[in-house]
Amino acid sequence: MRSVVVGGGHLAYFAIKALEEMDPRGRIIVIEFTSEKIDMLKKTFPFAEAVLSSIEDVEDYVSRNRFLIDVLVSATDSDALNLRYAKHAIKSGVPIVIAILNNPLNEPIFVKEGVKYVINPYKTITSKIKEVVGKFRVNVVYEFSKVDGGIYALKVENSKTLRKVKSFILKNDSPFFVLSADKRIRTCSVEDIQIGDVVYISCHDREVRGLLKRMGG
Amino acid sequence: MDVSVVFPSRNREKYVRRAVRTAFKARHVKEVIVVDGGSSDKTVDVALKEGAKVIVQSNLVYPGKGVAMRDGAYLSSGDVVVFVDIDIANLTPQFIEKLYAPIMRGEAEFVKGCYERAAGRVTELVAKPLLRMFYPELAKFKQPLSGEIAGLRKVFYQVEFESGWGVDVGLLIDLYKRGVKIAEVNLGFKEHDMKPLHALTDMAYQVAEAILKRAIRDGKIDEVWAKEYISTIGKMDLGEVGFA
Amino acid sequence: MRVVLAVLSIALAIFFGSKLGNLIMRNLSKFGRSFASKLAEIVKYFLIILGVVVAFSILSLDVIVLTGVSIGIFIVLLVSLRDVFSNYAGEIYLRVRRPFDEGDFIKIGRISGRVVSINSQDVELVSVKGERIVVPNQFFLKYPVVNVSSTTPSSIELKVIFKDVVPEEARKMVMETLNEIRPELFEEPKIVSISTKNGKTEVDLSLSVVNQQKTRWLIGRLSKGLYDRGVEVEIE
Repeated sequence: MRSVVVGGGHLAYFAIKALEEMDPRGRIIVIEFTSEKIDMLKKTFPFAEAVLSSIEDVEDYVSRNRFLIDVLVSATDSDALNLRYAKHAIKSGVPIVIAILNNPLNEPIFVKEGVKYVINPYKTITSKIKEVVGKFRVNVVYEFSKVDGGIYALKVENSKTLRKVKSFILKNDSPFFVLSADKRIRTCSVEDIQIGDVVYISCHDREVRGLLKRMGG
Repeated sequence: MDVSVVFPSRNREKYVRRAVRTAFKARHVKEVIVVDGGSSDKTVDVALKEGAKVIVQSNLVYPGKGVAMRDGAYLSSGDVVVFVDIDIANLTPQFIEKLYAPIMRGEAEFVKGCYERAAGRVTELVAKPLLRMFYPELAKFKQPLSGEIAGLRKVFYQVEFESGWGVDVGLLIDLYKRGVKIAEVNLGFKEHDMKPLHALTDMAYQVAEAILKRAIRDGKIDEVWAKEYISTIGKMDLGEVGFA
Repeated sequence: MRVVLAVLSIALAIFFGSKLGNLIMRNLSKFGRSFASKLAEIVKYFLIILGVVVAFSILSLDVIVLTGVSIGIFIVLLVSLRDVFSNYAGEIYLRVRRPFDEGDFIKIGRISGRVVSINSQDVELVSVKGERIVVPNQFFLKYPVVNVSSTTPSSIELKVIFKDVVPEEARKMVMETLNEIRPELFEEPKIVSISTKNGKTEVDLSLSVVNQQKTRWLIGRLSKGLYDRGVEVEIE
């Protein structure tokens, strides 16, 4: 598939790697604004086509090639530019448009402006720290991009929480697995969940919101 | 030609409503953009309610307004981009229109605003002396650090924005070097909170750095000598002042 | 006294209209800011008109005639602008129910395309051929819409018909040409079958693409690639 990545910094680096891993025979075009970065990109990603462009010409390029571009990732070091390019690509009919944020505070702004796929690279910091330290009631482990839902870790600290978690799983028929206190990952029946376990549940956002509130998440 | 007005801002909820409404009243203004520096108050909410486009500046840590100005220029879609401080108490539509009037008349591509009041301390003690030394052609500007500027959007895309307080003087020097037509307009009186003295050290440093960096780039200071000197300074033990 | 009450009724109507409008904006902005503001305006002006009617009745003005005339005007507007109102109703349905978003690829009746924008009167699509199609919102109230999930790849089935080329040769040429266009495809292309019919060799292909608008371009490249190899083909 033909993928266009706008930007040549560290955000773009990870985007290009991911696209190459997914489709090693695909076509990746990287657009950057300075010749030094273009030289560096050519050395780091010899399989990609690095293109030097001006800020305004990116939109022309996308418009001219809108029937051919499958994925556009806007990953410059300016959220303003990323928003602009993402909106233009969506209006041009590019099927998959992804924006990577520099400042996580811009996430609601991007979503409000109609950018469906927004990557906030800082989101994992909170969940990882909670996971490592282990002192939490609820931890949002992963949020799906295409569906309103994700994987949520619920720590069963006492009998009250145990009852709530069991009743939630039964009511919503949610798939789950358990990480027990002795660090075993296991699947089991609802009855076998114990105090001290961390239960990883996958469900829709609307199902879990009430539970998160009640559990102080 | 249509105009985008950009307000770099941070914790200015007191001023934002009035500033955005005033900007929308100026002629040819098609959009007002508030670039927020990570406010902890209601600046963003108020700006959105007033119909401004809002974006939070891309740097996680607020370095000064340069990143905000860059992001504002990038987000804008007007032919002319105007930057104005959001906390000008006597802001009027005419104040804003004066800024871009020379551009509309075809007399300039970039305009600096200046005021009746005396220039600030960093301007008089740091910027003007250094400009006189290295860019005497620009020493005539009354307020080279003025944050009220206007320009054709395409000229802002030709230069890099300093991330901190050196952005205004950096733009002036870089656009001058590119041969852009520059004008200065008197905006009259500006009612504006001045920074306290202790807050000016960082600003002064960043302004000096912006000018000196460009002086090295443009061959007005020997680069080899400058690098060696800076490295020597860095290793010096400055010691302490002893009391007799 | 009556005049005071009449003025008060209009003032209250304006006050409550504005408050209700703000409430609507706060709670319905999630469905779209311009949509919420339009609804807020309609509610606000409806309350103001109600306030005026009440004021008239307080002043003992001929409310019956006024009401009659208002109803008459309303019916005329309703009839002559019924399509406009239907389109607004369609917008409400699209904002609340959200059968698709901007960027999704949809099919409605015989029309298909990627959604560029959802507006108060219509939805703008761009078709596979790059044509801009504007669909009035009321159609979404009447006809089922299929959301062909924007991001999953879809298959394009093509039949390449060779004249006077043996199957093995046809397969070789097709594979070589497909190899050239492979960077534009989502996955490895598949030759589903090769058969001969009425002296012609037919090669059935399945190509996987994300951007359905690429179809025409792919057909063009395939034709050119085979033409450069010395054969003219039909592609269906």
